[in-house]
Amino acid sequence: MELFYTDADLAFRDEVRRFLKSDLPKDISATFFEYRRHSWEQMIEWHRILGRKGWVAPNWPVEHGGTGWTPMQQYIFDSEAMQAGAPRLRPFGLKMIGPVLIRFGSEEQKARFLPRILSGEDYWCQGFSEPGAGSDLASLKTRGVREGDTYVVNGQKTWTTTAQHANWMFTLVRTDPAADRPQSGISMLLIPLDSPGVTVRPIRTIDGDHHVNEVFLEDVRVPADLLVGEENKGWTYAKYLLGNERVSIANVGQSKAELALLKRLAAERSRDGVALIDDPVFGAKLADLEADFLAQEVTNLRMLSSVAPGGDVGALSSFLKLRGSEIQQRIQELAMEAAGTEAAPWQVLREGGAKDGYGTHGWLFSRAFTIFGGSSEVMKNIVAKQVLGF
Amino acid sequence: MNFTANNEQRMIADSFARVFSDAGYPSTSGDNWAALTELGLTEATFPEPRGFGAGVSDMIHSLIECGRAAAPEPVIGAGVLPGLALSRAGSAAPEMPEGTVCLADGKNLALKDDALSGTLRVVPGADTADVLLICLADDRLAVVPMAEVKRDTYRLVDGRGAADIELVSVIIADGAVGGVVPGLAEWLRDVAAVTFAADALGALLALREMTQDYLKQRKQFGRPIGSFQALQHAMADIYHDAEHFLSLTHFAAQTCEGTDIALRMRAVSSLKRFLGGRIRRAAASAIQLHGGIGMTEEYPLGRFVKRVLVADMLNGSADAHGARLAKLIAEETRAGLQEAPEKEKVA
Repeated sequence: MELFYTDADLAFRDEVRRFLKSDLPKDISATFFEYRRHSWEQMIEWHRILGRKGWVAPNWPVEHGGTGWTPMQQYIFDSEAMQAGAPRLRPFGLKMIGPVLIRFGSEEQKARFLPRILSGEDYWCQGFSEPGAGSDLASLKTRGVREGDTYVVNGQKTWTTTAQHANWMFTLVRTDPAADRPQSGISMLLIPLDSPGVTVRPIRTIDGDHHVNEVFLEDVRVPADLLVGEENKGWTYAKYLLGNERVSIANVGQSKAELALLKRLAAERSRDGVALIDDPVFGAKLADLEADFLAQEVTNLRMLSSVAPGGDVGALSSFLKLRGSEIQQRIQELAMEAAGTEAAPWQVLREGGAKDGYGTHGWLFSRAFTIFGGSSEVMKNIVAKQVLGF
Repeated sequence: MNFTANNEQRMIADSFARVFSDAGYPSTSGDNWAALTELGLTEATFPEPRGFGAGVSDMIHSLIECGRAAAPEPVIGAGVLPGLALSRAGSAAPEMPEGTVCLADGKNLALKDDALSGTLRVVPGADTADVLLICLADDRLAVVPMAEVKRDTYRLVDGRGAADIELVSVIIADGAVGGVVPGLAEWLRDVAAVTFAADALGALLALREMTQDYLKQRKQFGRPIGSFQALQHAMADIYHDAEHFLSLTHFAAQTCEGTDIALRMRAVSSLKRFLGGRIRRAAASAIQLHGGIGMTEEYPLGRFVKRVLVADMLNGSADAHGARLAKLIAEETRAGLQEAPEKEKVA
């Protein structure tokens, strides 16, 4: 992409590189280049370093602690950081509830929560999905009943990523069961996870790791000033939030870094004495992936360039998420294939496994990418609706 | 990065579009070469005074219009490409005689004592051109009047004209061969691939619109077939492929104007790989979504599909470009690995 950088972009890139070289801890970058996955602690450490630098929220407006970067600068920062081996910051505060509060939250909520998201003092998780409400999110059943100046919440959330680490959960609850449409009776509440009646239980995923949880809510009392915007308007805020989530999932900067790492892996591995990167069959798969990635990279920049910082990416997000998630899966798939037989022994990455199990772990975990944040089938429904008007 | 046309690029593209719509394209097909030439459109890429030195990117929007109209005129082979070759060569270009010029890749020709011999296969636009502009393997341009070669003319799959040319010891006169322009032959091969891709993009955008409209109009089982999810998802795939192809086409065109050869090769081979894989499948899917009507010669869809096929077939197959891309990836990765220990020391 350097071909399209302006002089200012190039100067910015050099500034980013200097910062990464001096401030990204070596053990954190080594984790990436040794084909391991970053720990929660490494991620938090990096979050705080970026917070101190004022670079933690590139997509927020300047007045709320954002950087005021152009979409191109955001992309430069993201891809440079990923390629230097930095952890990907969790999107729940920075890319999901933060922008929602900036756009729809009260002044008190902004003053209370935004600085703590930037500093890393608060960590958020997303209370959207339920056992009976996945793709059909609007059918959610968790109830929020207003009693004076509190909401009493009862129900169950699931697939709640990082709930084991978070202290807050933005939560969709049904406040009007009698509304004419299911979407119309939903509100968004901010719930402290240390509230009485909240129980978090881990769900182990097929990669052997603990990413997601079930969250049980039993008579949880939530002060009414923790309602986002207006009662029963939660679906509007959720749609805005999901748009940002989907662009974040498309995650081109991370794909660029992981694709580069995959190529290195293919140069280091060999099959019958020939480096895998010179193998015609493997090389053809890499070439296809390269072509699809380049198309995705240029398209993302083309589309995101049309959105102002803090603007609504809704219409583009389904489009970008669909192919972005597929490309990430294919990178992991080739990493698994590259390891050949060595991919077979079971390793749990956070317990020290590396390289051989890197692709296997990635393949298993990345199945989730075409499911969470709106499945590929739902994305296609949305794109078709935009295109065909059905 | 520019994806939308500037005023001048839009003006040229609109002029193309106007000639084609006046001619009733794409529902009919004719020969409007004279009208295009009169407006100075076919030779826009030629150096002044014949043209005005338009570049690869300048022509992308016009070529999209050619594809969208399924125009049969040899705009690329006998207009855009020879002009780009001459402009690139600059003062190293040979003297050009009057008449329509088409460009041929002379990598398989043998030059011995000023005599050129060999066969040129599938030269687009060579069926009607008066003059052959050949890029020799040593990166020089040579001019050969059509009268001095044996020419076998025919139509390509998509109806555009082409020819096979046989040269038997054709003497290249003084002044008919230019100076060496380093890298010219390879550059022209990449540029040719990009121009045909831009034309295929126009065809793809046209067939995407046709398919969208058809899904809304056509009723079966008492409702528009576009209301069926299986068809909606197939349409969404075409939509994605077209948007990505559009990005790659503009990107590749802009790399052709830069100095980074590895980046250009990476972009062009990615484009061709994408074209021969995803875009050919998208074209096939458009026929499938139409059902039987998509199979008929009378319905214009087939003409757009065939333009995609021709762009895939010419200028290196998707497999050849896949192999080139794989080699490039291997070389770049190795170079990066050799640099890496240095980097770590600095860090």
